[in-house]
Amino acid sequence: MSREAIADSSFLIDWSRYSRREVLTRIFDVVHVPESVLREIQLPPAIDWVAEKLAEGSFTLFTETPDIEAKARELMALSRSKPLKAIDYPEAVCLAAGLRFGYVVLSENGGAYFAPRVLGLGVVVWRAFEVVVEAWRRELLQDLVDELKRYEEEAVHLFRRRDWEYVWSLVGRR
Amino acid sequence: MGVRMESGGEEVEARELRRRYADWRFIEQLPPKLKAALIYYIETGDLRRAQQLSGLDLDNFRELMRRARVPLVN
Repeated sequence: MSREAIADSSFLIDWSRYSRREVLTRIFDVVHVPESVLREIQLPPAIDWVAEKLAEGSFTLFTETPDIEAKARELMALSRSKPLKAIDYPEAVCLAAGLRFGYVVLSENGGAYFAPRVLGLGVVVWRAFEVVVEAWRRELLQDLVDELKRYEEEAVHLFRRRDWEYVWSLVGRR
Repeated sequence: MGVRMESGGEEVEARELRRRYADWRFIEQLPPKLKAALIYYIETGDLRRAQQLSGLDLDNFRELMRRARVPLVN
């Protein structure tokens, strides 16, 4: 797994509300934030947290180069011809950068999450669910079920049955 | 609505969760554009299209979802 990630607005806006949000920067050496994503983040707590992380260097600004922009627009066009929820430019940039540099893409956008399977892309996309599970695997978080429930409550977010079934299979093994 | 789905069964489950948790009294009192955008999200789960319908940026649309107790499910 790459030690670098790239995050879109949907991920950062929700993740910033999680009281254990600091585990993200213990999983990844650096989290890239595209300029187009930064422009979408307007409100606290997300804007304050992202600014703090940029200042301390655990987040870094990702400037879209012409080849990344072109790939992002290609992915947006491709997604429109497939059974996939909308992918807009900022999350398409994250997918393009994930493809180009091997970053883990962090997104809560359903289109971006399913894009690797539907579009056949060789890129890893994680939601908060996968980040919390990874933090638990590394023993950065203690009780997986409690943490996922905490995330649901703090971010006003719900995980699906298939996610909970996976959690029960993990917890049962310990 | 003509939204494209990833998986029928999972989409039904997600839609039921969004419908069940939503604060419908709050939603009914919203201006028509915001109400339509939230209902679009509840029914389709398409965050980007719903946000664009609302006329808000993503951060403010997500805040509106929170006030309406509409969970993000994906």
